Amino acid sequence: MRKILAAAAAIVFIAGAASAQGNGHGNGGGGGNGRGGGGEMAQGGGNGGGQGRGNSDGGRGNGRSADRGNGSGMVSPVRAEAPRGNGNGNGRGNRDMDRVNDDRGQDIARRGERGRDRDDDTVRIVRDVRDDGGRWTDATFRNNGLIDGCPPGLAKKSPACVPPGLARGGDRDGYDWNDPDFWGLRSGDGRYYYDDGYLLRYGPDGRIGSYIPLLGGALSIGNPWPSYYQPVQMPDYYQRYYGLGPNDSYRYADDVIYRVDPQTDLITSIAALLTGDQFSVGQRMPLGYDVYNVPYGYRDQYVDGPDADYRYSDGYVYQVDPKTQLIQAAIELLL
Amino acid sequence: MIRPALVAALAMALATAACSGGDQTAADGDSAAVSNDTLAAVVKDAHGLSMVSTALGDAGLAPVFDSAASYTILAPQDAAFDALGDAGKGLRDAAQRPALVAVLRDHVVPGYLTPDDISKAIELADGKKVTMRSMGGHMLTFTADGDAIVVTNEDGSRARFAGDALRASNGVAIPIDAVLRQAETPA
Repeated sequence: MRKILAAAAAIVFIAGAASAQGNGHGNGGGGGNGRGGGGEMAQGGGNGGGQGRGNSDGGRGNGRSADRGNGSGMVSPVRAEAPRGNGNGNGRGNRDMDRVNDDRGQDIARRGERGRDRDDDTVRIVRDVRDDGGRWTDATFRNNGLIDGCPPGLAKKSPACVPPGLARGGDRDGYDWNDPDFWGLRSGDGRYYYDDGYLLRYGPDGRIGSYIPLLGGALSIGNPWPSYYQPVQMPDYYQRYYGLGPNDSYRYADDVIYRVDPQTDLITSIAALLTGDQFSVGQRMPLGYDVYNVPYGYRDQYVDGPDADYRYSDGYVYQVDPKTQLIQAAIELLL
Repeated sequence: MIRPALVAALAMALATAACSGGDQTAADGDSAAVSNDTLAAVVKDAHGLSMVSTALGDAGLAPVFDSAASYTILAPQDAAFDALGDAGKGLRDAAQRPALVAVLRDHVVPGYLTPDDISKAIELADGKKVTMRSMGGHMLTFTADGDAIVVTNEDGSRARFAGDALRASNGVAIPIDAVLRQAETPA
């Protein structure tokens, strides 16, 4: 079962090593705004994965990470002050981030004692905006996505919200569509029934008491977004990475990001599939990431070694201790 | 609103990024060069993957695989759907698209996995098996069977890698010979 994403409090990530060099890939995402002090800290031998994109944020370099408000989207590059070098050549290693408090007071973003610090890394702290009123992690319908009532079509019928009987759904064509697990949904109490793009749940009175709209069914392009699923505010990084646009132009449900027309709330496209897995620096890597899966353009930059493995999920590359499986850092793949 | 062309350009830019010397990417031996095309485009042009390609298009999922985000699709060959019998026929019905989408989500894993990556991981793993989570919420287990790689879903359905992987700018499509959903045998 997919798990609900819990809010990750703070994430340290390494800005791409390539942020300094830019290397001429010229994808436009990069350094156009490279002002300020960020530039010089990303010197050295980046190897291209970042394609200069890292510059865009690095250039803004002025923020103290802990001071940054959530949702600013401008991830503060933190100058590697290197209060005490640790032999990594740039002193980044032992830089204690101390505690990066978020609203929930969670999590320590700390790195440095771990090896594999590259000389050219820029270290940044992101206060994850998942806590910033977004509730997008709570909006998933793995646990609470059941919408009270019955779908509009059934509600209009008389009698309303009566199970559709044997007309559709059920064990057909060799698959049990009535099983929430068929849809990758968490099995809950009660009886479920598939009908016309929805998974319906019987209420105690034998009528449909709640329902879940399904990807490819009720949640298809051109259909209205179910208002029960409130707009969410995703991290600015996600907005950039997945090309989501303003907050009113996307929605989230069941580990899928949809784009909607802000005026009509009609679904216009499907933007991304997410794992919904929970990651937090200092915590164990979730199960199911046994294979190196770093995106193509970053494979030179993040290579498994004796001191660190790298695994990708939902837009981030996670640096993982191979022995303990603890997540050491979350790395944004800036566009 | 995102501009697909821009996203495609970004994805292609990723593909053209330096990627020459990493241990993980060297000499995969599982496919030819990496395409500049996106994963959706590669699948669309692939021989014998029309069912998956059509499904992705009809369900509106193609843009997901045209984007800069990275995915790997374990793509059942067309014959794999035929082998499902009535279940396969049902999945071809447009009215049953939600079911097909649900099935296909189990065939998508996050990131960029080549068969060589998987083989190496199996080789190094205790028990000689590795797992990856799918976008369908299930765990897929990979094992070696001689030179072949076998993937097994939680329900026991199994498929073998079949043919060369298609390496796109933003992901990989690995043809497999069966659908990773166990259809119940009619009574």
